[in-house]
Amino acid sequence: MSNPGHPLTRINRHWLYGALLAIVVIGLIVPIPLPLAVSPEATRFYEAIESAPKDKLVLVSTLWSASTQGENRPQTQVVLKHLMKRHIRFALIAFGDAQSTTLAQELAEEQARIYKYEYGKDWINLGFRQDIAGTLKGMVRDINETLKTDSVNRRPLAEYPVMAGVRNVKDLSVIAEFSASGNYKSWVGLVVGSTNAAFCYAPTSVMAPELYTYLDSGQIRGMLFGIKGAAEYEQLLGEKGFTTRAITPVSLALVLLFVLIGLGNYGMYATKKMEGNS
Amino acid sequence: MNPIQSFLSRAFPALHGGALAGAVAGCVVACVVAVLILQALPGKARKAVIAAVTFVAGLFYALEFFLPANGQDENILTFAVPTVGNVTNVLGGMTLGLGVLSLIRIHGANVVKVKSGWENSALLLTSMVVMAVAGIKFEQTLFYRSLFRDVLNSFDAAMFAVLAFFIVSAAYRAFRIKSAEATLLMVAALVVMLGQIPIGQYLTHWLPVKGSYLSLLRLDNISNWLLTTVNAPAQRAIGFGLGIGGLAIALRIWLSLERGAYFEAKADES
Repeated sequence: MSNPGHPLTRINRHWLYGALLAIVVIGLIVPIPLPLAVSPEATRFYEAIESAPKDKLVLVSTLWSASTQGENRPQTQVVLKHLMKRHIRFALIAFGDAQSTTLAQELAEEQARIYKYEYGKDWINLGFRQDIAGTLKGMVRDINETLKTDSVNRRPLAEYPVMAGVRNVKDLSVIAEFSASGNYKSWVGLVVGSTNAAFCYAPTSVMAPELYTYLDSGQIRGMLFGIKGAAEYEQLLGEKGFTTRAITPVSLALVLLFVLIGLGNYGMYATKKMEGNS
Repeated sequence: MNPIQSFLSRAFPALHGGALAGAVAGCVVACVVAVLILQALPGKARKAVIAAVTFVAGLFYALEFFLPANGQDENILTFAVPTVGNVTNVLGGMTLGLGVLSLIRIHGANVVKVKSGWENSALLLTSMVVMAVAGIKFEQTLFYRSLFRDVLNSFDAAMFAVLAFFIVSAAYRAFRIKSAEATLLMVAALVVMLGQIPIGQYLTHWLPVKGSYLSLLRLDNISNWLLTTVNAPAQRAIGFGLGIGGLAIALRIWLSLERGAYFEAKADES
């Protein structure tokens, strides 16, 4: 009869699911008030917005849908909040996922109500574009000619005060991309070399390690490392909102992951020992 | 205005109202006729036409990039970049239409022939039509917002959230330390992840942040060192390889040298 193995190698998966669910719920209800060290990348992202001149436009590009909104939404929210606190005008644009433009619009409207931001005067939505490379190439030359109208009222961009003095990407102070994808390659390849605007990136945690090479070269000025980056940014803003609270379940889930990996490996060695003894 | 730009402005003046609608209709008819002619051509001739169009389309960006620029960083083709960008967006939109057509063809056949699982196909087609109509006709209404926010977004988020449970289960079952490499990977992963979370950072928070050798032992500093000094060069090497591979594939597609189901095989069939 074959050895069924140590009991620790045979934990029913439903217990694992239950443990994760319990830890996430408990973590959300009872946050652990531990300090979070702010990374240099998040600090540079913050400083790029903090030092952006008030008379220049900031471009906020989004490529996220409901699937990654757990990380990308708080990232977008803290940066929009910072822009509105400093009263810097900004333009939204979305690539890749059509959901993105609506989700970013809803988020901007929510923040605009709080900070009394007026559509068309303080901010604008440039809409969704399917092809990022072709669109970015066009925007390097002429934003109005490439995008033509906004996505809310479908009126020519030149009619909006928020677009005054903006011809192409050279007239932007910061480009911030919030993404679940590898869009940064298009931005770095097609736009970063054509403008002095600081390019900052906010990917999901799983994407973040890819970006260190571009942070190292300075092509990406700052980065928010998933929801942790958003929590760091919130800390830099001097606030403690949902994003800071959400770090507790993330931390606990990772600790659970380590514990389970440890248990699985202990079970494996215990099984080998049992087999050696028999 | 350069000679090409001036010629195009004269040949295709800006149109408005009925003239614009007429021009759009004429373009649609011309496209349909072009597709019909393409379908009627023998395989080799069709391949030659497609290869020529692909080459000319790709040539635009290559020439625009390589031709010398004037003092304003523009050359004779730069004026057309926004327009070509819009054309590529339209082409991208057409691929969405192709996807929709394909879905209707496959799932429509499932429903008509009452194949196994036809109910799922019917639900898919109904959902697609309802969402499309809601988005086109009722975008500003509660109906659309509810479908988008309460149904689509909730499903999307739920589908992705389920991954966390599978990751926990998979890590427990599959992450076994059986070799030196696996041990190294495990230790690096542990340090990087602990360095990213407050609980991990708390373990070494009593060490100085910087200015002392002891600061090198802080988990957040070790994590940052692994990401910037160990991970970044590896990512750079992978990116370099991917870049060269991407360039080779791009050249093969541009010059119509690529072989496979979507290229040579189709042309040889007819």
